Amino acid sequence: MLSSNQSRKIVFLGLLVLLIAGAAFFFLRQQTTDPGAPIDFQQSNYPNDFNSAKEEDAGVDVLDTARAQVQQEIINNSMAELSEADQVKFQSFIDVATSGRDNDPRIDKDLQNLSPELKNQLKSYYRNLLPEKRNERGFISFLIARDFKTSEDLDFLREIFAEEPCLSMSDCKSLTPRDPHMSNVDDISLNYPQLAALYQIEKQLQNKAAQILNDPALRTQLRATLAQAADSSVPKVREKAEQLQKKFSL
Amino acid sequence: MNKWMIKASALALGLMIANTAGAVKFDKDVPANIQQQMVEDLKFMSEIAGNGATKFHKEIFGDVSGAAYKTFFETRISEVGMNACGGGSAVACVIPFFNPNKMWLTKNFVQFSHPQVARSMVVYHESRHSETKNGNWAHDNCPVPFVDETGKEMVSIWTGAKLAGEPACDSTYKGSYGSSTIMLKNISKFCANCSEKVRMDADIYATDQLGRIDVPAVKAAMISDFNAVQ
Repeated sequence: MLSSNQSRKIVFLGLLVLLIAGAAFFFLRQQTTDPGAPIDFQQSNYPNDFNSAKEEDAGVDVLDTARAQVQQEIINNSMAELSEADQVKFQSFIDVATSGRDNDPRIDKDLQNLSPELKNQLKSYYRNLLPEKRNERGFISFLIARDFKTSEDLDFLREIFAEEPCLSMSDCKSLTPRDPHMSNVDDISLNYPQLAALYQIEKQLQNKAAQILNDPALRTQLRATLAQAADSSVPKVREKAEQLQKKFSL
Repeated sequence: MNKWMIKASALALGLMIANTAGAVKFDKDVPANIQQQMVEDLKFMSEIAGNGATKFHKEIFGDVSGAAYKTFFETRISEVGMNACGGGSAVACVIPFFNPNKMWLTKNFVQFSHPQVARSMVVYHESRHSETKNGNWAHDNCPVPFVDETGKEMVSIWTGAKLAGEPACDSTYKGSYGSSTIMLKNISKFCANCSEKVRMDADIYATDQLGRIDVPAVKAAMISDFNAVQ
């Protein structure tokens, strides 16, 4: 039978262990990041991100660097072709496209009523993007389709509809096995440039049908563009295009 | 028992609780760029401001608001780690039998070029699977045959693999497909500080995911919910 003094000592030791365990648990746990706060890379628990790449990763890094250099050259060449005002807009576009921050307010504030020169540079940027860059390509497709005013704009969209379908997110040229659980997300992303274009074409027609359809050149090119989309081997793209052809008698 | 012993035990308990409340914690092996992407995506969701919400959205999430979305996520997911999630093109997953409150990300989270709202839809879809009390909202097996409104069989675009019989459908609007569809439809309709791109993307991905609801009456109820005048 323990004395009251011994019992107190046991309780005290137990609480001390609990206190030490709690402190250790708190201070030695992995990095905590508040989603509301910007991440501090110095706190990263992955310090060897850049120094311990495997051989195959090193190869990819070299390729990525080369591509980034080519991309920067394209950007520099585009800037040289643009007015100062358009350079600001083009930079906004680059910032949003490369960051992937799709809710950047500049998308609606700066990137509307685009000049023909700026559109040409966006189209050129699109053509130089890797096909696997679905969101970036879709972003350009969205910008042009939201603001289509000329046959040239619609012809660019026709080019998008004429592209070979992208077969997988990792490599547009290769079919890879997909888990049906979230394959719907891949299906949309793989065809995002085309679906974004159709979405915006429909919106423009809903808002400005008379203005667009009473212009013979626009009407002719729109018909050709939708015909290209309706010829797609992707059912989602084909069916949406056919729906628009029927709805607007195109 | 002495008062200081009581205070010491309360402090120990408090430290342990503080470590588990609120913010998401990343495992050490989650690369910095994946952490950054996840933090940015959650920040995007947490900053949404809406000017309305449908009945189903209020039932599941509350208002169309960043605060509601932040609470929804953080009351379900407390940790993030790296896992292949079965391989293939998976971006994220929850493995309920292992840890229902941990989300696993794959390298595809940053390597695949999905729109931000699509990635967020996946994250919120997966977070719904953490709800042990609701059977983790396990998916239905899609019906056999599984056809769309026009009678065409639902198949994967390229592989032609049929969805019929696969555990890739929901028979309720409250499951992972249903709830994330409702979330995105409401963002598309009511987000007051979203770019036109975000609202368009939300509409496109949600409309398509509606196809995973395999009970016509439930699908009709969801469409009715989306179209109800506020």
